[in-house]
Order: sequence, then structure tokens, then C-alpha cells
Amino acid sequence: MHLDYPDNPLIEFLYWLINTPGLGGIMASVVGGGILLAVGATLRWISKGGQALEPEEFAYPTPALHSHEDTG
Amino acid sequence: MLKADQKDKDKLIKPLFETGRTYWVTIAILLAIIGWALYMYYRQLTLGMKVTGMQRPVYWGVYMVNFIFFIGISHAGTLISAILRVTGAEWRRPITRVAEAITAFALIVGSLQIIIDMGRPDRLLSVILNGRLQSPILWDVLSVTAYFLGSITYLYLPVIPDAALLRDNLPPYSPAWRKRLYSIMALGWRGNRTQWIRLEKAIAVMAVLIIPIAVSVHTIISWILATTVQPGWHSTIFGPYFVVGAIFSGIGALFIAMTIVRWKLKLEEYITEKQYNNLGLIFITMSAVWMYFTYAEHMIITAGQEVYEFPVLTSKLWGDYAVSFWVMVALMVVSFWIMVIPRLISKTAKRFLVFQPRFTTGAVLLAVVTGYYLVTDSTIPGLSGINPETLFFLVRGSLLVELLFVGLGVAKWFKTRLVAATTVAGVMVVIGMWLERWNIIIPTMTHPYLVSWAEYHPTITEVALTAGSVALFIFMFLVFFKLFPIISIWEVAEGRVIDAERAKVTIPMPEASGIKERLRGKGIRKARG
Repeated sequence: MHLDYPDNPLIEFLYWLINTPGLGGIMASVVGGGILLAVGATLRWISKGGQALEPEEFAYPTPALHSHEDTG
Repeated sequence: MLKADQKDKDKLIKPLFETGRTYWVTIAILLAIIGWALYMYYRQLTLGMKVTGMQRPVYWGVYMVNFIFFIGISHAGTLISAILRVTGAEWRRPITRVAEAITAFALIVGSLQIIIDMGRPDRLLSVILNGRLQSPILWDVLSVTAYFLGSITYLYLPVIPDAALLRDNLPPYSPAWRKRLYSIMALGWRGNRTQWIRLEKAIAVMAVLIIPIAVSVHTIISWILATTVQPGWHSTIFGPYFVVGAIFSGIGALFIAMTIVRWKLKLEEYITEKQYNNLGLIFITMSAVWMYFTYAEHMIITAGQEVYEFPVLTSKLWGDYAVSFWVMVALMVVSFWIMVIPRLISKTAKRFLVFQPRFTTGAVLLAVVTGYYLVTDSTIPGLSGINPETLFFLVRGSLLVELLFVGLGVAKWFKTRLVAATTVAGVMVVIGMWLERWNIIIPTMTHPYLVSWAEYHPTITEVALTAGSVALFIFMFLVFFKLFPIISIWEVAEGRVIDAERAKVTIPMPEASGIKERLRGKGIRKARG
């Protein structure tokens, strides 16, 4: 006995999607590349925060520091 | 210029620039083991997989065991650290970096196992070039890649302020390359308000994102096994079973690492018993859940009369793999005992005979003698007339009782030694979980549906590459913590301020209910004072 899939364009599309060689690789590249881009952007965002015109510098934060708005 | 606290400078920054002989000897030994493993890998590449114990139908051996084991260990860090951050557990601060480093390095070593396991590692690229979305191996590549990149980021983000602290507080004798390294790693960190807010936002978002990714990683690794129709693997509970086992072994590895760094760097003021106690409670929970899953996994096969799975089950219960299976069970039971029973024993328990050292010593001696008779199958003097079946139960029963008394005595000893207890339990669980991975992979591989029986014995090549993998893991750990503080300086400093402020607050006693009625009953109309 085997599964009989209904003759439906959506099912056919999904079948093509999961069975086509190479699509998995594209997915892996998109995920990996996306994460790298997001990480790079985040690090840049943090680094750029240093350019804000704030004279005070802190070696460590406290919850009180976070009650202020992000000025960057 | 950012200033570090003097205590942090002495305890956390200074050791980074002062290296003793023990460190270099350890590094040399580790490099020798890695070198040996590299040579054996070169042999395996040139001579082929015949130098391993793997052959038809055993396509997966120790390398796959190591892969699942190391990926499991990786759950120590990022996942636990993320959960503790999200739930605002203040006690996490001194242990997060050790935990996160374990994750990053275990993932590197774990992923390497796949390459080692391939006779033609160049074909790894085929996963990308020809990968199909229906393949659990592709899901694995996706989730491990996502987890690795996420974990590296999660390790790096809290390092940024510490790298800036190091940049600004370098001892005068430190080499120039280190100043350059910390300047690059600090990403121009000033520590102004905007940067702190952005950093903590990024860490908070990462902490939330990393939890589902971590869960997906070990679930998908289990699906590599469970989506096949091999006996012993085709199970619906494999996903959560693997995730629980991963967290369990991860905490065990974390305990070992915490104890070593605490002892070597004298960090008792930073890593206190509080961390051991609180993490120990999570450990006990994971232990109980893991035992439940292990029992359920084996019980269902038996109760459901899944006869095709019986060769795998019996090989574990009393066949070729009985030793590895029962040693695993014993290690888990003893580790659970060490963690739980000392918490249940009263401090005044030593007045009872069973908790006194001389009683425990006697029980140990008796257990050794009984065990000797059991192993050597010798005749016990004075008991030769007893029915053999009665004797069988008598000897085993008395051994069990003796071991119980030994356990009670040991538990009393561990009662006042929380660090020792958790570390011993951690070592047992790490070994036990490696055996668990072995017991999942090898008995199934040697008992597939179409082959009645096969053998697998790891060769020296596999032993060398396993030793090399462990050595590489420790090597990366030692090198990383020679460059960066083992404890997140800024997080501990923040925690110190929060603790000091909290200590000033006196929380009043709760208001007793029904006090007016009670006072009135005594003839007093108004409460005084």
C-alpha cells in the first residue's frame, strides 16, 4: 500500500519544492547568508552607537541606564 | 577610557597575561594528541575507510556517536545561558561565558565528525549543490549552521565591552599584538549609553531567537535516525528525548568546566555554591525527564511486542551491548543519587549508625566481598547447602542492600560538599551520555532488518580521532580563555551593583490575617505600636 496524493497543483508544487535537487542548497545559502548579514548589520549598529554625542562612558550598565531613551 | 574594578583586574585580567608552565605543558600534550589524530586521519583518507571498524552493514560508528555527543554538549551553553537570561536569573552572570564557549567549541568539534566520517569529504559540497528540502541531512546542515552562527554571535556580543576593558587596562608588559586584537574585537566600544542600550537589545533578541534554534538542532539530529525505518530508531519520542539528553549532558560538561576554572584560577568568590545549587536543580529535573524517556522508549517496544525491534533491545539488555547499556544506567542512577539524596538528608543525620563512616566502610568491604563471589561465581563458605536459586537472589539482594548503605554513607559525605557532588555527577553524566549515544547507534547498526547479526569494534584510527576531537575541544577552550576573561567582567560588575542595592531593601513581614479578631478575643480593642 502506498500514499495516493490527490491531483492538485498545490500538492504538485510542494512535491517539486521538496524533491528538486539544488533547492535545499539555495535554502541553506539563503539562511546562512541571511544570518551573516543580520549579524554584520547588528555589529555595525552597535559600533555606530559610539558616535552618539554622549560624554559619559560606563564600564558596565545598570538597569537605571536603560530607563533612558536610545539617542542614536 | 574604561576602568576595571581592582578585584576584577587581579582575578580576571591579570591571569590572561601570566602563563605558568602547567599551561604550556597542557597545550603541548593536547597538540601532540591532535597531531596523532591528524596523522591517523591522513591514513584514513589515503587508505580508505577500511582502517575503521565500519563495514557493511555498520555504516555509522564512533564518529557518529561523537557527532551526536558533541552537538549535545553544545546545548550546555547558549541554550542554558539564553533561558537564564530570558528568565532574568541573576545568578547566571559568572557562568554564562564558560557555557557559551562550550557551545561554540563543541559545535565545531561535533560538525568536524561528519567530515571525518566521510570517506570522500569533498562530496560534502553535494549537500549544497544537490541538496533536496526533503532530506533530514539538509535540515541538519541548516539548523547546525544557524545554531553555530547564532552561538558565535551570542558568545561575541558580551565579549565586546570586555574587549574594550582589556584594551584600556592592559598591563604595561603585554605584547602589542594583544592591544591590536582587543581594539579590533572591541569594535570602537566607548561604553556610552546608546551603545549599552543597543548591545543589550541585541543580546536580548539573540537570547529569544537562539532557544528555538537550539531545540531544532537536536530534534533534527534525532530525525536523521527517526526518519529511517531501522529498528530502535523509528520512534516519535526521539526529538524531545535527544533535546533533554543534550541539555542534561550539556549541564554535566558545564559543571566540569566550572569546577576546573574555579579551582585553577581561584574564582571561588565569583563562581559560588549558588551557581552549583541552582544549576543542580535544573540538572536533577533533566535527569528525571531523561530517565522517564529512556524507560518509555524501551518499555513501549516490549509492551507493544514489536518483535522486529527485539534483537536490538535484547542486545542492550543482556546481549553484546549489555555492558555499555547497564554501565550507562548505573552512572545515571548514581549521579541522580549524588545530586538528590544529600539534599534530603538532615544535617543531624550523623547520629544514626547508617550515616557513620565506620558503618559505610564496613558496607564497602562487604559489597566488595559479595561482588567478588558474584563475579568469580565462587562457593560461599557455609552456604553450600542452600538451593542455588535461593542463593542467586540472596547474593544479589544482599549486594543491593550493601550498596544502598554505601550510598547513604556517601550521600552524607556529599551533603557538605556541593561542588564535589555536582562535579562527580557531571563527570558521570558526560560519560553516561556518550554511552547512551553509543547504545542508540551501534546496536541498531549491528542488527538491521535484513542482516541477522553483525559486529563493530572501533579501531585505533577511530580511537585516535576521538581522542583528537576531545583534545581539540579542550585546546580551543584553553586558547580562548587565555585571550578573553573567563567571566564576563561587565555582567558581574552589573550584578554586584544590583545585589548591593537589593541588600539595602528590607522587605517587611507579611500582615497576619485575623489579628484583630484574635486581639479582640483577648480583650484588647486596638493593636498597639
